[in-house]
Amino acid sequence: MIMKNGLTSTNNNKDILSSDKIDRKKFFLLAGIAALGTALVSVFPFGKRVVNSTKKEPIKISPNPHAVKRNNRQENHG
Amino acid sequence: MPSNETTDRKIMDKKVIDISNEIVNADASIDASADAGAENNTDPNYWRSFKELHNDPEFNKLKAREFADGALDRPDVNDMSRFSRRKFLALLSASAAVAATGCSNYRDQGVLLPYNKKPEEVTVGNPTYYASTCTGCEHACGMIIKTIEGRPIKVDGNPDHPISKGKICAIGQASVMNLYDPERLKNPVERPDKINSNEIPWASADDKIIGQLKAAASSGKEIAIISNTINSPSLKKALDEFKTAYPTAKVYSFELFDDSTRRSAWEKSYGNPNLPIVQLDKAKVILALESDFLGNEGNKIENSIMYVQNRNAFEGEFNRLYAVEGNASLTGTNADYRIIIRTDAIEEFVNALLIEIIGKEKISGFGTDTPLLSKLQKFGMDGFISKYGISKVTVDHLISDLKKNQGVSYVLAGSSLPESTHIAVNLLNEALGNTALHAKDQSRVTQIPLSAKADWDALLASMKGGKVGAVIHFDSNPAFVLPADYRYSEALKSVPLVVSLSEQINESTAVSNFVLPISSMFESWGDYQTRSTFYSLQQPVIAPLYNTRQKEEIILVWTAGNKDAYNKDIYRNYIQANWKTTVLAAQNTDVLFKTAWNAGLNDGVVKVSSASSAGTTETTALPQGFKPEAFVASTNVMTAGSNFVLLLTPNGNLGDGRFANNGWLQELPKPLSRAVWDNYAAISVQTAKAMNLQSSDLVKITTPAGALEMPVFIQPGVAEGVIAVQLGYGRTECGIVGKGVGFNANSLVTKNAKLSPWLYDNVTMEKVGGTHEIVSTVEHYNIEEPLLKDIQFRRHIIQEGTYLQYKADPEFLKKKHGDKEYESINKQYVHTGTKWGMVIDLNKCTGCGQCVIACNVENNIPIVGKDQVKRNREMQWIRIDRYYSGTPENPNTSFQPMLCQHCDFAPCENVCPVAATTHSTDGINGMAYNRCVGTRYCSNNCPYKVRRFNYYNFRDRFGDSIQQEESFSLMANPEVTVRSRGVMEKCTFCLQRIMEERSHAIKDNRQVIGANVKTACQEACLTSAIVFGDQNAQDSELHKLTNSNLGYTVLDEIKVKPNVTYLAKLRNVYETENTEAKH
Repeated sequence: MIMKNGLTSTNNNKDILSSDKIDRKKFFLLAGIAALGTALVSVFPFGKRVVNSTKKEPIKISPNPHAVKRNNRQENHG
Repeated sequence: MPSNETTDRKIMDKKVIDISNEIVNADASIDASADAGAENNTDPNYWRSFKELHNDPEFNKLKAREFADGALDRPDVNDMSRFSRRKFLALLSASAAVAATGCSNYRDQGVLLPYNKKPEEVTVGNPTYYASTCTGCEHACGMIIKTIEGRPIKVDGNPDHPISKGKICAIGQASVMNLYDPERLKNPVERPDKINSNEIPWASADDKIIGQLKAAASSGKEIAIISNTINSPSLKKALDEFKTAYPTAKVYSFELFDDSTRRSAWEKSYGNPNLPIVQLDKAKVILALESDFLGNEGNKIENSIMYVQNRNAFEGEFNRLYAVEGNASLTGTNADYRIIIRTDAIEEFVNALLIEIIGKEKISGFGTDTPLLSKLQKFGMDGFISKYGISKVTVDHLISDLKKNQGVSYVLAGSSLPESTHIAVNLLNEALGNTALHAKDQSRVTQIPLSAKADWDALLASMKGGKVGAVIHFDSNPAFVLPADYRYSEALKSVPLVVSLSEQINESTAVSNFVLPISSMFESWGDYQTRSTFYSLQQPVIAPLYNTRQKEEIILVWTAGNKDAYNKDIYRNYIQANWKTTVLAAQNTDVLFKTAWNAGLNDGVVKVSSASSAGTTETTALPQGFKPEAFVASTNVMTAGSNFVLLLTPNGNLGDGRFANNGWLQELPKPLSRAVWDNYAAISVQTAKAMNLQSSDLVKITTPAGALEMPVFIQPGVAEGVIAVQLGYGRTECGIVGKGVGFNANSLVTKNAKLSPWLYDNVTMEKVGGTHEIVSTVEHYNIEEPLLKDIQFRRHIIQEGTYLQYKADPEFLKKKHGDKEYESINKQYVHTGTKWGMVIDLNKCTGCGQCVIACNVENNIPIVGKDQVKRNREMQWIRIDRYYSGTPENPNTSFQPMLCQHCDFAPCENVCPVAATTHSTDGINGMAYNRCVGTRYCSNNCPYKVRRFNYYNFRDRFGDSIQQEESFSLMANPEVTVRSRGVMEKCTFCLQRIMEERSHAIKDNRQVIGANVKTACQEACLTSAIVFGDQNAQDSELHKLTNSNLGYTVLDEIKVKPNVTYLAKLRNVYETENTEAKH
């Protein structure tokens, strides 16, 4: 290692695993694998169970078609 | 570290160890030297370490330095982590990318449109109104349901309903919360072992139940249908058809509180049990004997409307109300004269009154009835007065008034009183000619009479004997409501099939094999008849939110005996078919059925003549004549004892406990105690002193039925020796809101009560130690110090007088307090257009609190819970202040609704640092919630203490965030902002309703009409005590009342110019002097 102002550095590009600097290709490779893995895990098996147990059917509001609305809320003089 | 420094450190460490060893080995010498030093020096010697104690030289040198060793050393890079900055940033961005991928749940929701095809009559944002009928109790009041985009959000009374006349009680107002309660039952459930629940489809449930019903019928076993009051003619017909299909079926109906003793007394007195309808609006004198007709008894809406009809000083009509009671009731506190005696002494009082009226005054022909008089001879009013220490003057006034107002007075006996008392009261009314107030043109209608005690005894015996094959809880909860000594839940174990039809879980569903969810009243069809002159219709305004069915539909399917008989219109078609042949056929008109049907649904009521009234089982024949022998033969006369007497009273807001899961109703303060979220044993001041009890102390109350430990509450105005307890609390199988709230006093009710199921003498009460805190809002938001006696009069917060004073001099109030015109440092803004204001007539206000619930519903007020109410954090925008005056044993009570006064010179507006509260040109003190930063300075400055601060997001905090459930959000009024934590809120004079009127005015190209705007509290007030409108409209009722000679504003001396005017309360007493305390 080279000491420079108290900081260490390396110029050995072949020693990827032990170096402090991560290779750009390796970074994107690892990130892509991690993203894919997370997406897969979120779907099954845990995702399916989570979706089934916690997802609630939204409450549907539908008026009654046979209800007769009142023209106004005040007294009906008719 | 350099080697020299390392060596120095090691040397120092060794010195410390040496010193420590010296101390350990020489404890005694240290103590001795310390003591010696202490003798000569009185200052304590403080030290923080042993080095300091022994004055180590190296330590002293270090003490002199500013920074300790090592403080200024540069960091050693070699000791740092090998994790580089670049590496850190790379991993950080990678993990963020992964997290974003995993957390993202973006789904294209599509385009947001209110309607794909908009219905022609619907305008988005405009509400739609429907007429229907409330089924919260047996009175079936008419209601108007306001819906927005299909969601019911508000309930008010139906002005076309002949009984409720546009009013609805708190239960009806709060019923929207029952519809959207997330804990409603959603799917049919089978519980084979009555412990575990399995959801099953409706078809499967119907199939299994029909099979078991057929088996029960064919084997001759009874099928018991247990219901509350049935007042629907179509339902009665459906049940009759069910009984035809299953010949062993029987219907039992019950209520927690009923008129059974009154009816049996009436039947003995007049030969039939048909109770009359009393026209209280024509009564000039009313005597209420333990009868809370304005509060919890009977149809309080009808009673309140009738009571205030004859109580208007401006129109020269003012009735007089006497109350004779042991409990402190709402009616008693509104009475002009109140006589406090033990409840079990009331019959003696009536008999003493009878001997005065019949014997001495010789009123009526009963004075020659020897057997009757001889029974009354042992009673005497003078003896009664001296025995119970009541006011002779008041009694003389009462007798004089009854004598002078024969035929226009009425004596009401409470439902809790025994049969013998009711018979005596019937005789009194008969003697005074008060039967003239019985309505001649209409009568009550009963579809199915409530079951008698003998019926219940027979049912329970059959159940225990294995003769009952099926029990159907028809939207009822007998396991909770029936007297404990029936042992109903135990008897159910012998019944092979128990089915509960219910909206929510309750004590009866917990012991059932099948629990079938039923639709709410907003989702149901129905027809009702409680009077002979009209029917009321119920229509669903919304399709069922969950997989529920109407209970009537379920019965029809079982009657058909085929699970496939169900369709969603089955009961609607059934009612229509019934009406075609009965109700509308009897109208004998040429109007097409469909037209008449739609008209009926539009109006909510269909008026009929009594003669054409169909579908009733009760005759409309009026009583023919009083039978004096009923009084003579009446035994088991109630006499006052020396032990405690227990009075069980209804809770007008929770019913028989079925609304325990409604947080708004639980949080509504009781009128007198202002207690919330609990019931208690109300006792007198004298009893509390004698037993050394404080409010919240636990006592054990024992009756022949059982015992119960519960807290006491010292209630001024309760008679000595009386214990009053409200029923409807202590639910054990209930949703999260109501479970465990209060104490179940049903355990004190016995089926074999000597007096009545709600009145027990020879009761014991003993202190058991411990407390259960009763939370009361009585001292919240005090405008003045609570310790000063009659402070409401010193500050003129309450202004009162007598009717005689007013008649003698209508200006007496202004003369007494001075018509003050104060100089103000503020420049008066002249409101040339509309200026909103409110008048509250304290003569009409009974303190019932319906306005509070209406405001809660209209303005999305959250439930905060008991612990937060304890901390003065209830969020209700309007409160009813209750003041006592006089002695604690016999106080006068005054009620005053208090809300934001929308002061012209509002002190809250000046102090807001962010101008979140401002004043509009039409006189409204407004709140901009999104500007508010929560300094609470405005609340601090408000003299009326009407501002409410959201200390928490209460929707999130209370009850496991139940108010955050999706269904609760459907309940919210979209026209009113839902406030969050850290924001101040208060009454806005229903600004959303003002805006609605403004939009109508713009559309119609006219000015805003103040009378068209009705605030929620105004609409809800049963007695129409609240009037809202434009103060600048010279011809309006509001303008007239604001400037009336009884009008005053609260705290007018502080010159904030409030826009709420109160009309002083007048008591109709003989005394001409002022009823306020002398100062």
